[in-house]
Amino acid sequence: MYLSALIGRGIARVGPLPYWRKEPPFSSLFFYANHDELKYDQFLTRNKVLLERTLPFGDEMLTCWRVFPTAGHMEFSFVEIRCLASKNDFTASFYGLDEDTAVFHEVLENATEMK
Amino acid sequence: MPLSLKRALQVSAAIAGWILFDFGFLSLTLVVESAGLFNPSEYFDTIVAITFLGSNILIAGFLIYFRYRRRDLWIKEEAERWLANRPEKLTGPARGWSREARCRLLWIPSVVALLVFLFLPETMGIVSHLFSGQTFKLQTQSLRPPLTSFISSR
Repeated sequence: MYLSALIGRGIARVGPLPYWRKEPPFSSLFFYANHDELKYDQFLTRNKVLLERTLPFGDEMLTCWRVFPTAGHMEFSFVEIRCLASKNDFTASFYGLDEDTAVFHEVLENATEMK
Repeated sequence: MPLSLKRALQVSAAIAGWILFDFGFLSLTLVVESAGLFNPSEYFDTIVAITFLGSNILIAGFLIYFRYRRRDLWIKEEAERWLANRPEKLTGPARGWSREARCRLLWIPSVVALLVFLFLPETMGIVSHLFSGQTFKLQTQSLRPPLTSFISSR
């Protein structure tokens, strides 16, 4: 099970230049439940962790790592974040602009546990 | 049905159809790519961009051609309408006000199209929320992404 959200800003908000330069101001948010394929140990050994942050997430904790962007997205403004819940049952990823990271963290912090 | 209303409906339908086509095309591309239905080649984005622009130019061209083909009929209809409305203008000021209001209403589709164009990612997000709701349940967690974000879930 997954949920993906694409955050974008229209021409009225950012002007036509980012679109003209083929750098549209978009950020992707991914949320997975029970995503077995993600091996975070391997991921963390392959990627340079820039920042670590822990968020409350329902009745568990979520650890998020801001990593050095992987190949293909080496722009300075591009941010990559990976998160893993303490029970290993939930993962979240963010790829996009620095100004959209607050939205990503807000979605995670406002997540509610359903009994 | 009054001619101006009929024309306004035709223009609105054409614009709505155009927006729907653009939205459908972009959504389909996004879904096909994210679902991994096939392996996109390195030229995939270029092909999508060319197809998108080409189809939009084709639609615009078709609308201009349609307008050109109907030009004589349109002038005839406009002349008849003007002649039919002329006595009303002289005798009934309220009718004149009403006609002015209708003329202003004709700008609504253009204004809507402009707003959609200027806020296209936000509009796509809001439309996607209309179809999939605002709160999403992933196992035991309930998530609420921003209203203007374009949503895809399974």
